[in-house]
Amino acid sequence: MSHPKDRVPPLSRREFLRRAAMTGVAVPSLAAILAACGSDSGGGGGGGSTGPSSGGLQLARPDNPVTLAVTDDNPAIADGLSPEAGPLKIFGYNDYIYKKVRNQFGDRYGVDVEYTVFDTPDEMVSKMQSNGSDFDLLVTVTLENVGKLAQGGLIQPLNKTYLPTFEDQLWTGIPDFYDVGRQYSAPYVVFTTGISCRNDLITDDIGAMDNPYDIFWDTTNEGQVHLLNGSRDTLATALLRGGYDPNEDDPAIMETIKQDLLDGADAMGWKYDHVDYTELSTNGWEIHGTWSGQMVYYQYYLPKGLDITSLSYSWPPQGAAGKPGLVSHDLFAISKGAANPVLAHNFIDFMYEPDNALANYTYEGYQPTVLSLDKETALAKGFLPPSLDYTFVTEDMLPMGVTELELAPAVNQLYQQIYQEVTGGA
Amino acid sequence: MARKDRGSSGAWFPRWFWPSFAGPAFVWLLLFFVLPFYVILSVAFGGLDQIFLTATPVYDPLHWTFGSFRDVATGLVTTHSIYQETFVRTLVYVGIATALSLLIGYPVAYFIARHAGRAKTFFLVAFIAPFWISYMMRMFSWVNLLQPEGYVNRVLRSLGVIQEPRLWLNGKPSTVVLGLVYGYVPYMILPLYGMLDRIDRATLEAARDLGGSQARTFFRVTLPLSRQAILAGCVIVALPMFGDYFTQTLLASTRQTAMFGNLIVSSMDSSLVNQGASLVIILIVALALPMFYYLRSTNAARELAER
Repeated sequence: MSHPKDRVPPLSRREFLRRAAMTGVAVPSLAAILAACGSDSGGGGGGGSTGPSSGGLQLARPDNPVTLAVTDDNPAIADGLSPEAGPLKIFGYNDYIYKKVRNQFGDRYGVDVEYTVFDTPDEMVSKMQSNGSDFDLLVTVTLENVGKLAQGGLIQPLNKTYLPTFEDQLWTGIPDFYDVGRQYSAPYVVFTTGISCRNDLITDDIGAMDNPYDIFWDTTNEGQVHLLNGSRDTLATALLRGGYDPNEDDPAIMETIKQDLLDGADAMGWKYDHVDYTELSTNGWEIHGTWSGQMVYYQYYLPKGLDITSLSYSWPPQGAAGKPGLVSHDLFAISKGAANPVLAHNFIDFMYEPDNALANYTYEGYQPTVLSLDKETALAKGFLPPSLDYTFVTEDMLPMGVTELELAPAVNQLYQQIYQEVTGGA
Repeated sequence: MARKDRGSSGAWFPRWFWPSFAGPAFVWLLLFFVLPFYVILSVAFGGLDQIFLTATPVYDPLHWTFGSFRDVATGLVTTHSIYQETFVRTLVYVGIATALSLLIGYPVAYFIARHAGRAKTFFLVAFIAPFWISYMMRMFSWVNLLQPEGYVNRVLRSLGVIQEPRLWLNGKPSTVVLGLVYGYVPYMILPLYGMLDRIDRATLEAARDLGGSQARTFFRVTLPLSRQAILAGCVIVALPMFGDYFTQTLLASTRQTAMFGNLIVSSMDSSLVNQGASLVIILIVALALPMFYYLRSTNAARELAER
């Protein structure tokens, strides 16, 4: 044992009080420094815990369209401005715009195009809150986020005088109830959400089933079923299976859905992801929730010996029972703090030029909402496998589907709580 | 005028000179531990933006609220809640993986320290070399090896151990535990090797001269002398395992195998961010307990050695 003299003495009362006082000074100082470093809670236009945050969020629905207000402190840019010197900074999903197309835009306008990726819409929103002015153009904004971004003052109104090709080429039937008049957003790509399967391994004809969503709960496929990750898509699978609205907010129904999902998760050993096309080469799944835009990718990731005809896709509204299914489109938007707003407008318009839209589709797989691109062109150019031609979304399919829309904050949180319980955070 | 101390070389230095050497470590801790930890506290006890559902940290402790923390703490003591199930599962995985790491690591370290002779350096480098590759890449390689048609199943089938491919990646706890062992076992071996290599051979020879068998010498001399290294190795591997989420994500990724780290990550990526920060605080407190035990044990061992 060490000599008592060598031991560190316990704190004396005086020393304790001195240190406590120092801590008392240090903590508020630290708090003040951190508060100064932090951003305004909630974006410029009233997205914080004060302002219109809790009560002011208007939930857009097809029968309750929302016109997003254009305010004096966040106007659209003036007409007739020259493009800036760049670089144009784009914020989007990985691989969501073909590099060749970005370079062509850069060549035309003599600017660099920088592309920063996010992984989930939640991450995009979070980064827009803290560093929104770092980006000029957002790709992709999902329908349930556009209202938040606009009402939170994180995106700016569009000036349509810079978008003549967009005005000319945009699908005529694509809805705008979430942003009436498209004041803040421009559609980018359209897709359905369905069920893909390896028909060389699965004998069920999913499209012919009374309820195609039952395939996700079929224990004969245990361990081979993947659901799309994210609270909305995972819960929508169970909601649609049960015949409910994918934007359901009734607590009793949500409890039922939670139990259905927990039962399925325990019985099936579901996995949750959205990278089915890359997993294909590993033979890691037989049934996968997926987006129609992914189907074009598959041909590039097939394992040795597997033919593209071994893959099928089912969108329930097209099935024998005509069950509801999801259809949606993603959007372009321009950051409120954009340093290059004219270039950002130019880029949106550029993406609506038929050649650029087609070139981007060949790489990206998701269809632009451009009139010039039709199924025949996609097939003729060899980009759309003939065996999967029914995955191509046409305007007449839009009314057949339902769409995941913005939820009230408390409901959104409930969805995320259920999702966490079902996945265990996996 | 500043007081001065006489250094060992006889030169005089200001009193602050030697303590100032702790400055970089102090700044480092302040910037990369104290400050981030305070932010975590501010998020856990802060609010939530009602439009974007993102965290609104509250930096003034006088305005902290404890609702989210209370929910998480209540969940941890509620049977069948996701928090308790995941915490217990993680505890079991980490316990088994740590024990396996010790069972694998001790003989390896013993062999290198005692019997590798001149090849000691070679064995050490050969053993550690694979770990120069990033953890993520090594786990990805296991994903390929463990596929239904991967090499592991092929070898087991050719040996007749299994008839049908085993679905290693379909949410098997054993796969997660073995992944953890593979990922962290070097951190067990290195402290064990360091201690075993330092044990004076004369001590062992004395034990043998006094009539101790090899086994008795090992259990009465070598093992007690390496106790601190065992403890250090266990702490070093168990602490990061507890916060690990990547191994589970890659090798299993199911509800039945999710670990505490997965729960934290999924919370942080959603509107459950206040709960996620609360989970971090609970994890830190839980991990501080073995850490304090380790420090106390080390101090006790040092005092014993100084007698």
